[in-house]
Amino acid sequence: MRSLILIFVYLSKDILKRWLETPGAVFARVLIAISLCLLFLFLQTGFSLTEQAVEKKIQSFGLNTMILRSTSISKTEVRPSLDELLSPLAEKGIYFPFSSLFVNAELSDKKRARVVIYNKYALPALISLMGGIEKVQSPVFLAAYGYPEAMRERIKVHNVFFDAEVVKPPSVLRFISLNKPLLFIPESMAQVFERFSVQESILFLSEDSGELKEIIETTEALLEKEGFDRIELTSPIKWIGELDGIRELRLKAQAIGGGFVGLLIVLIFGSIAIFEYRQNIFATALFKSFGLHSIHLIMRYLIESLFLLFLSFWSALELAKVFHRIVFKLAGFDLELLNLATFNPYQFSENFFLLSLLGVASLVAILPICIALRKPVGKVLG
Amino acid sequence: MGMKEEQFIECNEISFRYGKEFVFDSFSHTFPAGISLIKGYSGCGKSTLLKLIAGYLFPQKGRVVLPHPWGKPTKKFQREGLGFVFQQLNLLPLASLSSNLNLVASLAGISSSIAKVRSDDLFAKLGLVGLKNKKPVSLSGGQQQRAAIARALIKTPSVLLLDEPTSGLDDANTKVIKNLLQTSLPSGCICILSSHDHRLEEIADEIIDFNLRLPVERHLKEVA
Repeated sequence: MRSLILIFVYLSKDILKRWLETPGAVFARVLIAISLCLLFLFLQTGFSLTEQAVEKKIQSFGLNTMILRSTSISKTEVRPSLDELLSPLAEKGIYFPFSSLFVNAELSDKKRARVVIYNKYALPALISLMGGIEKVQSPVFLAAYGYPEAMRERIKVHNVFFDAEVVKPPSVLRFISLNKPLLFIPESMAQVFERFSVQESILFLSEDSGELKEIIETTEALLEKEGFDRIELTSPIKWIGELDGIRELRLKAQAIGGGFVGLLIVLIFGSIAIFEYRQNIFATALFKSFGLHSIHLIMRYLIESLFLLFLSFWSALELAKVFHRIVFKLAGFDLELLNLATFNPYQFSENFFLLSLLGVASLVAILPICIALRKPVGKVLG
Repeated sequence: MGMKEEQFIECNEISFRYGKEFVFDSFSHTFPAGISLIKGYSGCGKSTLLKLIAGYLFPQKGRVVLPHPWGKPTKKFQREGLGFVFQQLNLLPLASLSSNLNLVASLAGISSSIAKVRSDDLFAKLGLVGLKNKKPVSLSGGQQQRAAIARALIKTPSVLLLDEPTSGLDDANTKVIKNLLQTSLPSGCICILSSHDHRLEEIADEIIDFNLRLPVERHLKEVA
């Protein structure tokens, strides 16, 4: 035991002496390892944040929601009516077909509102969405926040005036309102806008979110059969697929990025260790001549390499915390997602993969030394 | 009471070569306890033989038989039973002379108190008392060589191998080393010196002339 302590003290002195003699070699190792760790951490975090953004989108959209938008805007196009074609969906949930007018309404305070034209197929859904028939006293109504409910508002739509009753909009309408007030006009009163282009859309909320995938597939097949080739369909199913894709990509990126980081660390740490070993080869051989096992000498390089890598890993975690907000804000992520108090990907427990990768790289980096140490003492010492 | 078994090192049919050229081809010799001096020109294989006996090189054929209890060169033998002095680069550069001795003593399993007594005795005999806390870099070549011999002797080895111990040393330093070897070798120790220094011949119990082993052409070349 005493001999091991003496050897440990001597080898520690040796490490310290080399560090003081060639600080550049130490800094190069640490800085490169920090940079590589930082890159890897940001790569991982980028994927995590993207996953979270999609999860948030799915959560906010609802797992049972589907929106269909016809991208054809010509009124002269001959085709079946979309709302009538998909009306059987009403049996599967809330089915709200509508047309968005490509002209905005102007409120008395000069604010703009989107114009939604509804027909008989939309009535059951509209009543359900608004929370009952008693909530919709007038056929023309304005779904908007910031106005007293039941207030009468005089609204102008391209030289035509409407008296609309203000109602509180249900949250699900945010997908079609895009944060603007919505003016609802029945089809019978919207004939004056016949010459204007409209976009036909359908908002559908399935009673059973488990059935949504099947409903979407059936709807898509039906639309294709009826010649609706210019339909944009938005649903969480696509995002769930996207999420799976991101997760798969993340694993691949982790493997490739990890391999890249590991390889570079092995090359850099390995070559510097070999360089130092060659400088120190006589002292090492002398130790071996005393009957010391090579494993003790290998430990010197392993401990040094592990220490430097652990220091780099810890520094990279701390630096990542500092630059997290700046980097990912620049990358366009929502600031809400960047709060480290709610999501901190730079904790030790979150980064065992990187830590183990560095451990493996340290081991591989000293392999050339293990091979070099096999050289008989008699061939080194004169 | 049984008689103490005589100790010796036996080289049996040893063959060794660096690259294609044989340094030894079926070399056999028995080294008894006491001082054996191997002399010869550079390159005749003196140092190689010492390294083969120490286990620092491995013969391609044949074997080295070490005295009881060692049998063959192992790590344990190198730690506890062997004292080896290389021609150069003998001391750990970052350790003081005391630490150099302590490290080897502790590897040999010698307690620190015994190591201290022995190192003080060796430092006194080798005139290194005032230098024991110095690092090798601040010592002369002769002082470093004496310290290396002290380090080899601290574990009272049963085999002591010295490769050119007086090479480049003046008469005063050589005399100190000769005296030490004559007076301080552990009982039953097999000491083999490799040297072409004639000053060491007078302390040797046996002299082996490796020049006689050289082929005539190489011998003539070496002489020229």
